[in-house]
Amino acid sequence: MTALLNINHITGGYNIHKPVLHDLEFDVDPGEIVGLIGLNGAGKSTTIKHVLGLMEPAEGVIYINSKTIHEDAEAYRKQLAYIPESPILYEEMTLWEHLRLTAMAYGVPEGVWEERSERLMETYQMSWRKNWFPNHFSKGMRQKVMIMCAFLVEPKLYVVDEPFVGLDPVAIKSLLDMMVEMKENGAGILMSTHILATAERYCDRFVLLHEGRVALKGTMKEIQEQAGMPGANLDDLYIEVTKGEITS
Amino acid sequence: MTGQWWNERAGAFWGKAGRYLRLIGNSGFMFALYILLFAGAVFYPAFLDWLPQSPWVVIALWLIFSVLTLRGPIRPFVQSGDLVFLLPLEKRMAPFFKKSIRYSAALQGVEVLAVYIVLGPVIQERTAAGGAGYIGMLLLLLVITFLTTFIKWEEWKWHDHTHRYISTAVRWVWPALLMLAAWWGSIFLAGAGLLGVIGHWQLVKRRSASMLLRWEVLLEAENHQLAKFYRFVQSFAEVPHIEVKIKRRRWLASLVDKFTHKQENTYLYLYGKAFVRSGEYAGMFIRLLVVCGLVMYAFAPEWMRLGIGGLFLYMTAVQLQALKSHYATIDWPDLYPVPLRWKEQAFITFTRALLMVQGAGIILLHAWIGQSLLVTAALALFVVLLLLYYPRWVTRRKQKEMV
Repeated sequence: MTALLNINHITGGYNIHKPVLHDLEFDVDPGEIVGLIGLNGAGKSTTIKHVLGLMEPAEGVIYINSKTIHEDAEAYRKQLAYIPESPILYEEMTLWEHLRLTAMAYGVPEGVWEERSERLMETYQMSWRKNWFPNHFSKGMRQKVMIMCAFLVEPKLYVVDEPFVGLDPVAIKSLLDMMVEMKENGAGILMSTHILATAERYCDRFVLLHEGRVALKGTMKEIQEQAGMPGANLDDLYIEVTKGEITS
Repeated sequence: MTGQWWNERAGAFWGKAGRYLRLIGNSGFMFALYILLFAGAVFYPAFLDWLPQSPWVVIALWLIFSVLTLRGPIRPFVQSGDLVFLLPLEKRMAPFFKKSIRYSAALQGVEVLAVYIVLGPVIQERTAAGGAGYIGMLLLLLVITFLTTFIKWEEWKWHDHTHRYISTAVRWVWPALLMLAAWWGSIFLAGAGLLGVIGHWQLVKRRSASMLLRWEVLLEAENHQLAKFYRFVQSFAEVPHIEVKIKRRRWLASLVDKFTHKQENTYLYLYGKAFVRSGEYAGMFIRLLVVCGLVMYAFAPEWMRLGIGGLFLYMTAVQLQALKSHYATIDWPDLYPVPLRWKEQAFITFTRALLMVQGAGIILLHAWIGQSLLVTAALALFVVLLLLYYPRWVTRRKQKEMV
């Protein structure tokens, strides 16, 4: 089976002479959630920016369903939806208009997007804020708009950066349930997070980054073996990685 | 010490404001101001002759000076961090806030003084306040302005709306007494106004003696005052740290919703919503049309009207180019699976449609104001040519920007 997302020996960063990422290599397959774990500054968000095509790698290639962004930018982008760490909203658009615009941009047909939007707004308890502008939203509500826009598209690949910050417990539960549902429907999810207990429960595989390099990767069992710490939980493994003594 | 902080903050603000004001001075604003002053000087005597001899003039004066003396916007010079760090020092902040109030009152006083001088001939001709009375009246107005600012400050501490409303209503009485004093030439009434406002101030002060400051109200006032200044500056220069006000504009926004739901229209939708709701795009568009009409009306020669129409349409086109970079700082438009060339096309299509509307408006204005149908036809021809050439003009500008 070809990987849904294939990160193929990527080196890159903001400055070509000082790369932040060094020879990264990992996959996300359809029907799985991969946790991208690392300290602040380990390179999680930079990795995500490379996947989105907002940054160009100095070396290496990224494939989504065997296609690079240079081969066909529209086809590449259409397959992924992104939930950013800090919500990015159009201040001049209401919640409903955000959903409509996203549907338009991703070619979600009329009739379908309205039905999905209503369902999403209900799930995230935002129905009565349908015509509100973002400046009246709390941080959590803004994050909900991002989540709704991503799930409205129903893409093959979800790229999710620290999604739980600011969300209330009900919304966190809804988000996790939805991720599981999409995964069962065959979507792949790359999720960066610091909430390790949640990651351990929900992710099928993990990529632990340290200083821009993959320190450990694989299923829970595999990374325990790689670290030589059988039975260790993700917290312990993570702490061990941050000491800088484990490299793959 | 807190008074010293105030000096530093006010100094920092004026340093920045000074640079902006210089920019405004160089932007042709001063020229427009001179023209306005000149035109005012020409038309003022005629206006005085036209002004009817009636008590309504005094009522108008009362309204003008009441608003001016009572408005008293206060700039507290607080910052959001103060709500955390300065809260424990509230009791020692008195020198700081006293300076804020005096500063705000002085600025308002300047405004009162300027309007008083401009309206001087009306006041002297239509009321009994001539000679010494004229100066006396000005001094009393300034005293009211100062005390009102102090009263307002005390009112801010009150949580109780009813008392605040009553106090606000009472404030209107003092300028009214002054105006009546000027109308009848009664020193007694003027004295009553002065004593009234002093009494009011003392009462308000006593009431709020043991009350705490409401810091959030102060911060809100500060932001409001600053935003007002920056909005004024923004009409002349780019202001980076201004919070753009979003207006809902239900009817206009619903026109944008009429775009067909298809991928090709993604950017049309984006530009449409930005134009209707954000910044000053729509306001600028309408203002240019109105000013165009006024200028056409003021300048009689037909060939000049033709030039004015063309110039304003060109100015609209130039101003609309700002819309292009409206989404430059937001990532989403770069992530959409929509070809980049559609963005460019959408921009041209949308702004060209707007120019067509503006062009039609200008032609109609000329048909209404002008006397020559031939010139109206020439203007229409110009609009058509500009619309035809517009896409190429946009592309050329883009190439120039890249070089």
